[in-house]
Amino acid sequence: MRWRDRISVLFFPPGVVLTLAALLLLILHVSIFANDVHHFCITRNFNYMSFRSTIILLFSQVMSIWWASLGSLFAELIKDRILKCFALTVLMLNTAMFINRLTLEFLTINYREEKH
Amino acid sequence: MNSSPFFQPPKIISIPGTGNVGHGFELWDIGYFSTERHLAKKLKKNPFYPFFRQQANVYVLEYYQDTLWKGLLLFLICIVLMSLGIFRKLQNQETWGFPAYGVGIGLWLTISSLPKRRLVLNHSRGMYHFSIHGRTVCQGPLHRIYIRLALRSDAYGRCFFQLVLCGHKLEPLVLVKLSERYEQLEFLGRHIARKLNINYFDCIAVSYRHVVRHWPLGSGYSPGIVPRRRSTYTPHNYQEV
Repeated sequence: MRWRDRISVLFFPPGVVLTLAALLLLILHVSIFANDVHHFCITRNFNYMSFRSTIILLFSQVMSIWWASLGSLFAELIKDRILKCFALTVLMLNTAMFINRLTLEFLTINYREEKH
Repeated sequence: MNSSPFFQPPKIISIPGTGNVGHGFELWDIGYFSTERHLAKKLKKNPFYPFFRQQANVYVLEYYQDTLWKGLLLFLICIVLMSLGIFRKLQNQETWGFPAYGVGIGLWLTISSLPKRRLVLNHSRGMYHFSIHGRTVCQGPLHRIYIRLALRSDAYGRCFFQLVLCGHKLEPLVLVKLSERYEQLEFLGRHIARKLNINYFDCIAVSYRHVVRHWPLGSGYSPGIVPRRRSTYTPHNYQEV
């Protein structure tokens, strides 16, 4: 397989690419979440937490869940078993990450600037 | 001097296979304009719309997906927003991520729909062939490609119909986006299907209005196809009386 064939996957209609994008976003969200938990529990530097970008974080988590679900739908259509497992795993991890993020937001609600 | 046969302008040679195949933007109508009247006009101009006839039994459609202009538009708008910094901060919340997302998605949409698609119906071989940028995506017998009337209903229960050209592993091509007139759409769909000699399916799964021209091989004795039940059908008004 030449490198051109590998790149040409990008040009094709969505399939695995969506799952891969969701996986990339998942890694990003996990790292941000780890950073938040670290600053919340260990260093107690609440200013370093990602309070300022809550909206965009939630938006991007919803987007990654949406992409992962689309990717798993395509995998169901392709009927490849390994791909199906992979896509469903990514989808479940994304959902779990979303729930984690929500719980963290509610736990840290006292430390936010815009507390009412 | 000029009348000598050596200085004649070269004759235009038309090679079959390189003929007029359109510019690729035929299916880009916005929903408001893409009505059945519009389709009828186009059919009058080109009887094999959306395909072009290349040889007697070979129909070719070359197109770009309409996500191309949508992705480009999104990309440009988000680039402008990012560069001007209009939408950067809102009440202590960083919102520059939204245009950044838009840039990414727009770029991806544009890139993935940039290569030209080519769909060939070859009736002399009984195959269709779908390729993106010269790479074959799928190839199969003609019963896997069909024209379908799709039903959509809104919250108030009004029904809208779409005319879609679908197939196994094809991108669905919408010929008419929204219309309320069932009979005209059915007529147009049947007309296109007859011209292109492919199957036509109604919006209901079990219906007497399907036109099936190509069956899968060996369907006569395959277990999936049930012989027609004659005795179970009773007309609706008969039951209610």
